Amino acid sequence: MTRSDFISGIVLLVFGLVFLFVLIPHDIEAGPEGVLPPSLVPNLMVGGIALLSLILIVKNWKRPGGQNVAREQSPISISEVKAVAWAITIIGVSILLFLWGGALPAATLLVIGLMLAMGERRLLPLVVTPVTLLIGAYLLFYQLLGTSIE
Amino acid sequence: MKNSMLSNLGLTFVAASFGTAVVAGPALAEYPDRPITMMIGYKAGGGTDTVGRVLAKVMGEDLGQQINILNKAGAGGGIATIKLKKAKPDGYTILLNPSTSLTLNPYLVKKLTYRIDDYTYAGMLTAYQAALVAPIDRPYNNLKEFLAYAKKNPGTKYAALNSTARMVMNVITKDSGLDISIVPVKGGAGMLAVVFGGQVDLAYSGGIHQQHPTKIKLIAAGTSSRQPLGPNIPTLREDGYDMSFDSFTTLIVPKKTPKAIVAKLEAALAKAAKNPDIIALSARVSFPMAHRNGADATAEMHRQWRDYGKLIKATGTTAK
Amino acid sequence: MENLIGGFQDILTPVNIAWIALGVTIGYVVGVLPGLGKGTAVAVAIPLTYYISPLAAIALLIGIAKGSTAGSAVSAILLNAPGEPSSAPTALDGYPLARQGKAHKALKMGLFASVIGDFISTLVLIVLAAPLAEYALLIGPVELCAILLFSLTFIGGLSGSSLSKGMIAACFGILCSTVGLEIETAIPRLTFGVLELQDGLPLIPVAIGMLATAEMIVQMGNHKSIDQQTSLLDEGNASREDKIVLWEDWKYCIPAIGRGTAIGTVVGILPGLGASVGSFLSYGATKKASKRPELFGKGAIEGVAAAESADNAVVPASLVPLFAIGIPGSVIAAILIAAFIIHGVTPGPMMFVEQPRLVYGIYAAMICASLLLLCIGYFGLRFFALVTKVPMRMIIPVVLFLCAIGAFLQGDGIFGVMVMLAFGVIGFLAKKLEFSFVTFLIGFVIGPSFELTFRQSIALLNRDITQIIDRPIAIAFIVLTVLTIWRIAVANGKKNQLAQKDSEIPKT
Repeated sequence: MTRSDFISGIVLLVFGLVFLFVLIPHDIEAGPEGVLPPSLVPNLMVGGIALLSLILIVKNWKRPGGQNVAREQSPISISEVKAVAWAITIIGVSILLFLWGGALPAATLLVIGLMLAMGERRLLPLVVTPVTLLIGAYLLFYQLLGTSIE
Repeated sequence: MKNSMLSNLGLTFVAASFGTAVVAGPALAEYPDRPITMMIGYKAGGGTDTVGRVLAKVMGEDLGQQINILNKAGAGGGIATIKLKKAKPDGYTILLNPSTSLTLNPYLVKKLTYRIDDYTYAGMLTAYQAALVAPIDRPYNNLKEFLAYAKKNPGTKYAALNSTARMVMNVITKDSGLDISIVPVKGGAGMLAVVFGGQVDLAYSGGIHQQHPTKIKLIAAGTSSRQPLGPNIPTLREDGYDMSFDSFTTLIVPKKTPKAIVAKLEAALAKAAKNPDIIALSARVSFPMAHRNGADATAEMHRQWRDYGKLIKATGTTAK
Repeated sequence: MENLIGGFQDILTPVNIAWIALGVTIGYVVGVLPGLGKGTAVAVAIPLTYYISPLAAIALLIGIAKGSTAGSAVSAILLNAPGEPSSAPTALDGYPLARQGKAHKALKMGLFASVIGDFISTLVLIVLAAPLAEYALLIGPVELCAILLFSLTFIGGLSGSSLSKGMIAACFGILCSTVGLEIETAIPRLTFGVLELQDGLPLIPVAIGMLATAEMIVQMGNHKSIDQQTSLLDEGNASREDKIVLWEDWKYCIPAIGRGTAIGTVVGILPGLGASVGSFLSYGATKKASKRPELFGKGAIEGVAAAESADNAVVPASLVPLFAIGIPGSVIAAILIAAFIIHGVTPGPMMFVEQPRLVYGIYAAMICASLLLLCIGYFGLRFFALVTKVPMRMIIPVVLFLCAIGAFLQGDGIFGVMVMLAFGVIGFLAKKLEFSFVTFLIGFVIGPSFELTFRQSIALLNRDITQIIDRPIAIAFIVLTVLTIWRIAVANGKKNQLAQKDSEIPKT
């Protein structure tokens, strides 16, 4: 159908084959005799992925009209690539900050960072939103419901 | 209990509520000052879970903190036991498991690398009533009759909820030429479902079958003496198989848990053993009371470990 | 009947009604928050129940379960970020409706469908619990495995244009569910030495990542155009017809609700399937039966009705095995079993003998919860619908924050947040490359049941596939599976031929 299908087919085929022949034999031990091997279902699934991605490749290869394919737009827009990069960076740094400095700075960075990344520049929302959220979460989970979050 | 939380107010309150990373402080002084998590190595609805739920409530009331139950099923209680070994030894993560998940399962499953000395024992509460059971409508009423039935019907099915259950069947069928296929099930609830539905002809039960006398019958007692609910049914030993599977619900904490905390848990457990709710539950689910304090429980663990070691050797089973 | 009246007498006290109302409200609000679902809601409320009477405690939990199931439709419709997998099909048509300015209509229909599904399923529980549970036991592991296989293919074929891509997603989902210690042998699988993975990939963080985080990332990349759309909606004349459920809408929805309720009830009674399977099967069945299937995914109101009625019908029905035979059929049932035991009640048939008054009190509480859900939900949705007016640059950070909390709570701490982020990115790629993330999730959710029943089936059939001949139900579902694959393949083939002819027209 499309070039993106063709490419994802190849990526998935490699993924399936690597799991089937390298990772699963390496990572999953053989079970005891008389019990079905623990690798049975994982193997079936990666086998399925490999086979189906092969079908995907073949289906999109045979398709005539090569120029069509060349003109096709990428399914992911530049602004979306940026959004992914921002999300990974901000949530990732928040996780590191959590491990290093605890929940308060991490949660604050998460909220303010995302707001900044999305173009919020007004001071008031940048302060009020994280404060409200943190207090709200604290009250709901710790005081009202008495859960220990850890 | 809310008071101690309120005293935490201030800049650290959010941090304290969200993570352990910043919580240090004097944990010992007023243990317990926050909820305790009691892990159970089986799914909700099984025998251990039933006892654990009530025990958690009773002990929680005594300790002045609630005890939350966390079901971590898998590998016959093994997954929870592995998890406990990694847990912080601060008394806030404790485990209620059958003693055999530590004294027997490691002989049977190679991956269970924990040993009884990796933990501290705060005591034992009730005795399991391990047994071989069958759907009520089956034509056999004891193990001999079952074996005769299995001989006539190749492909007879047996539900095994853990490696002990598997070993029992392997010992019984050894050299007998019987063709019995072993169906894996998850926990007591999973076992009940296949027995109720008549999907299997025999099953190993930790004792939960006693709650359903109209649907399940006893075929052989797995304990060293006959069971109150089936005084006419012989034990496995009487049937000529030299094995018995005595096991007790055991309260287990990580090895390095401070002595003072263990003592508190031990005292709470001892009190619970006299609690009318617990005694009523024990009667209702037919898990006889078998309270032991920490020292006696530790001795019992060592005794079981030795006995099961011998049994394993005698049956020629190897860890897998 | 006398018992039921007695039950109502017990439950219709101001205190008990207040507990139910509190439960429904907590459940509804937590359900509405993206990233937080009924598992979280019920689990965090358990401690509350230690201090109140058994009946009030159980009523509270039931209220929460019902409220959160209905509430998760709200975030699905308004933000396309369902609180849990079972509301994902609600978003398929609910979100397009909301973007067309029909948020109120979709929310109301969702609520009505929820309440109707829930109510009828509750009645089924009351009247038929015992006989149905006995019958459900005939569905053993072999049959369940076949049903799971059928559900997976049926759902896989629904979404996305290509069957092979749908099946890849399903396989990937099941593969992810096998991570962790294998239950028979305790051998770790695909953990690559990471200790946290021994417990497996945590369900809730994976679901939040795939459903909510991924969608928020997509919306982050397009937030300007979404905000523009929103302002157009505001200026546009949001007419009364778009806000209320018309007779015209009911005409499409009544059959969908009937079907959804039936499917949800059956799925609820069977162990190991779960609400996600129920709502997706119902959505699919309604689409298949519809005279206007082309509208599905673009704002067909009956899609919302089908998904929500089934989703909610699963909850009471999943208590059937608990009440009738003492086996929990769902997460909610497992949590309720805990509440029962703590209060000295052994779930199962003996309950009806030993504590009939309590059982009927619970039934009465369930009916009251249904009615209260209608009132509280109807009031609440006006308030929640305002969310559509908030600009995305405010909504997205808040939603992602809630997602992180949900992942943290239900995924062993910060590890859960990492899993959420990873699956957020995977979900983003899946959305963009048109691999059905929904099929992935279904695979992931039912993966453990599928593997267990698959292994059980091999043992029950003595490793001999021909023995399946004794199990007509299993055969029927395998035949259905093959038919489904065949039908989808043929339909897709036709679609592709058409697409080829039109290939000069650039895709939008």
